Amino acid sequence: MPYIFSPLLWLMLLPVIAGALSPAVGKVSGKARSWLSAALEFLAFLVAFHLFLLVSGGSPPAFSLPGLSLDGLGVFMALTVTLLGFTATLYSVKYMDGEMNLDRYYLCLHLFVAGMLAMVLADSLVSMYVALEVMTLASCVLVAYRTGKEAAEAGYKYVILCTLGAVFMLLSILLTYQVFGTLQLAELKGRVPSDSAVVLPYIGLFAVLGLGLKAGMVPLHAWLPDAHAEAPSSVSSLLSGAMIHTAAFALMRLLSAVSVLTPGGEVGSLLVSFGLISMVVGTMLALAQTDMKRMMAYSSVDHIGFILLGAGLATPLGLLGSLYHVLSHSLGKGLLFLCAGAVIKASGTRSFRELGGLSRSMPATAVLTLIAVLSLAGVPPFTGFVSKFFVCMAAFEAGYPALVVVMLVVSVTTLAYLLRFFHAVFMGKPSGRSPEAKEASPSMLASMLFLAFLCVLFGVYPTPVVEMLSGAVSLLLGGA
Amino acid sequence: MKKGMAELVVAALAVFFLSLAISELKDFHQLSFFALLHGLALLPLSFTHVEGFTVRLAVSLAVFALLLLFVRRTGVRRETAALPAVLSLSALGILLVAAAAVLSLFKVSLPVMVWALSLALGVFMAMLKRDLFKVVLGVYVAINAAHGLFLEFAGPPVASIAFDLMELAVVGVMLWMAFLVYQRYGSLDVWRANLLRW
Repeated sequence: MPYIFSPLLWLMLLPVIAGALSPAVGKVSGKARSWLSAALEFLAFLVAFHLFLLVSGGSPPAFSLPGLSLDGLGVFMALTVTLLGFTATLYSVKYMDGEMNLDRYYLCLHLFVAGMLAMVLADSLVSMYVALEVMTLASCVLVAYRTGKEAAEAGYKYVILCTLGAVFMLLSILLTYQVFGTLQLAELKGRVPSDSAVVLPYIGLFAVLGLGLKAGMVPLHAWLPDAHAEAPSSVSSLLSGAMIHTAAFALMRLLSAVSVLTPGGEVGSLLVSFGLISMVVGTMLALAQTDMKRMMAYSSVDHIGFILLGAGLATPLGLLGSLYHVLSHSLGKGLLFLCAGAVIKASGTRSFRELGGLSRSMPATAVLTLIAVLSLAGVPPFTGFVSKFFVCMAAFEAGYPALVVVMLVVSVTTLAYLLRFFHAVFMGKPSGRSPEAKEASPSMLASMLFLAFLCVLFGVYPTPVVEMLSGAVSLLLGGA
Repeated sequence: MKKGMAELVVAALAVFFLSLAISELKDFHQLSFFALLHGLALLPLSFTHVEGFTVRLAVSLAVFALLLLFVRRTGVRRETAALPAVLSLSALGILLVAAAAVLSLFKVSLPVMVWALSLALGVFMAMLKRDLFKVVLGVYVAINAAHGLFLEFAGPPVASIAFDLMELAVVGVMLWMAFLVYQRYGSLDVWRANLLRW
């Protein structure tokens, strides 16, 4: 196939083209820019879906670009990233209407998506590092997009901490090169030198510090609540629904490539510990919030704990649960942030103490929020239930029943704080700013509806995802 | 051009002592100048590849220009405050000892050891300084040191140039964010901007 027809090339190019065209088209028509952005992101999603069908058909095509390649693992994440990228841009059409500096917003939004795609499709540690930095810089500008004091603070904290994380990742990369003599993920597979036992845990430790910081793992999560809360809700949906997962995914990929992700191993146990702490601390802090976006941000910390815990168990079921939770959290939290954005735009406040009875004026948003809440809490038949069930089963099979108890308690607490938020915003009598609120626009509702549909679909019918992820898990367990 | 051990040692020591100077100086113009020297001290490492050398030189000068621009735009010349000396020095000591202990496990060479200590110094500055400007410089020192370590261990030329360019972009965005915070709070003091809230 000629190079120019390579779907992988177009998957990467479409967000970049969208970013490059945005300022020029914006000078002609702001509306055209918004819709063109959404259309190009939708095309990227279709290309990712096409690649997903090819890969899940059993004959993975040998697509590659310099520094990037495609396999069952990468295509799963690419599909998630493009899905969230599309819903965020579609949502932005109306949500960002009338805002200042939209050229910068759309340019950085598309670069952010391109950076995340490069991160999950990277075939070498160098391209992974460069993608990590691109992703950080583009998202930092988006976090500091608003003109308030807090947005500048959040952007500053975010870029400083994430760059420090990148420094640790660089250390992990250089130790990997020192031990293995290569930075290609595929070549690292099964090449563990006999005298590397001392260095390997340090590779794992630096990778956990660097990428764990980006994933929002406790105690390295200090940037996350500010960044998620201060960014526009469309960006928060991408930060929480896609970015922290790409970091967790890159971490799993790196650790498995250098063969340190083994059941009961030092690095695996470290991940389980960080996962457990993240779950508990994230839940406790979410419980204490009254700002809905900060509460959701801490909820992301709680959920990243599930992902890290499943990955740290390093069993096939644990990794399956972890990857499934990446999908379910992407859908659920992406949806919840979009719903929160609709409420904030309609009411003008982030504090759910000032709201009440919004289900009368925003019934569709209320139903969609409830779906996100139930899915994130792990209530059947939504997708969150399936992924949490897999992680719990994996912990039980690995001989950690106490972990299962903790996960159940955390899930119940998650349900409690999310229902408290839902009740405060949508139930009861209209109060405070509620009477002024109006239902979200059709384009905003369409993007939310799409995510809600998938939350239900993959909860009721998880088989295709499980089959596809089983192949991805084999890749992880096999090395690169 | 082949790099010799002596050049490496001199470069590494220069990086380390310049890092120390950066962490201690109070005047922002002097700090910017020392940051330039810090970037240039990595030049001997790029001698094996002319492209790498040129890009490194360009990046060091560009970072210097960005730092001066920041000082000019903010109009603030001197550091606002520092952490209590005991806390600050204890943290630095712990970091340096930890870095040295980890590296001694691998029987590393002197340049690598010195870069690792510079890295610790950069992380120390980034985590414990109260000045927006110094925090940015701390991260810059840390990236430079990690970059130096990478060149020492691996050093594929393409990766080196990519890392140089990323470093410039990162410093630019960090300074931009620091400027936004300064603009909105009227202070370079991290604590006054309530940046450390949990």
